[in-house]
Amino acid sequence: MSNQRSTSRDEDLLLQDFSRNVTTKSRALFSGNAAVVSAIPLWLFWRIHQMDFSSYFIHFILGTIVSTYFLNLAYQNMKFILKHKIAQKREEAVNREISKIFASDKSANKKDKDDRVLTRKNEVADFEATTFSIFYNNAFYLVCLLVLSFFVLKNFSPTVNYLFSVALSTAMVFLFSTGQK
Amino acid sequence: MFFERSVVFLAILSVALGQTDDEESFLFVTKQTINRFLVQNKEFTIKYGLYNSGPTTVYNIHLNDAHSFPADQYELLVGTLSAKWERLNAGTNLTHIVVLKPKQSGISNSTYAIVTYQKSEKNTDVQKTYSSEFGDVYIMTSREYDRRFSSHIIDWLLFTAMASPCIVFPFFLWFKSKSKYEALVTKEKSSKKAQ
Repeated sequence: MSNQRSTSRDEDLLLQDFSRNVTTKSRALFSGNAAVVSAIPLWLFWRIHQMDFSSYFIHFILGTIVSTYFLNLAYQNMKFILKHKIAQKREEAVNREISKIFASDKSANKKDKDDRVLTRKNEVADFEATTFSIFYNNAFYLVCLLVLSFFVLKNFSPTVNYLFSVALSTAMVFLFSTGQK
Repeated sequence: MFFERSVVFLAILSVALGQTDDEESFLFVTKQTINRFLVQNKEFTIKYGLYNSGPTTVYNIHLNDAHSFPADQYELLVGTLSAKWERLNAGTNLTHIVVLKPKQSGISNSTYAIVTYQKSEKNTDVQKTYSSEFGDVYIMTSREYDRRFSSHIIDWLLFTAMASPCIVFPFFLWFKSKSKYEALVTKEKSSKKAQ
């Protein structure tokens, strides 16, 4: 009975480790971040390109929705790729951390310790992959958008400027996140 | 002989007098704007230059340009569009400055100013002349002007302030976790090496 339970628990952990699905908390975090990062450049377009909200709100809403969606996907892709790399790197450090905790507890057996290590490694890798993915994608997206909007497409009309700079920078961030191995 | 000399003298006199009558002064009037760009609700300056080209003084000069800048489209700030001067000596010039502010944007056609003057004090015949014109001008909206020329430093600073948390905060969290776990590994390695 306990064997079956622990096996299914192992399977759950493995599934969680290798699954692309994100938890609800993670999903909310990613969506929220994507929405905020997509919305911030609107300030620049309003103030510097003088695009007032009343005449351009359709463009703005469309652009924000598209970039939020693709940024979200980019976050998830990059997180999935990074998580495995980070998990491998942190294995030794997490082992030492758990060993320190278990050093005082003699009743614990090796199985429990291994479970703890696996869980903790998962948590740490998840956290680091999430934060790094958000940081990297945000930075990449904003830099692309600024370069496209204020250097490359500077002399085009505001509509063309906004739509192309948002579309191209979103595409670049998304394609870059899928391209890595 | 006396008759011949007097005829010759009279002829010379009439030619001289005739020439004086024929040598009239003309006023050349130029009208130009000294602004590079005309922007709605921003001042622009018109400069009228009147130059007396001939040998005599002209009198009662009257410049009228109210028809070029109607009050419903332009606001007059400095100067007057209808100016008068008593005289302008030969070979001298004078300038007249008017500062206006356009109320509307778009293409505006500016026509020439009309200048009237008398060629002599006694002769009240009025001579009319037209100034040069600078043709169609495009008055841009203040929004377009801001977009092209304003420095936007405050906007950039505010944008940086808004965007930094999205980048700095996740980086900080990641870096903190990374340094903690890397320190664990290096500490153990250095303690092992010491042993």
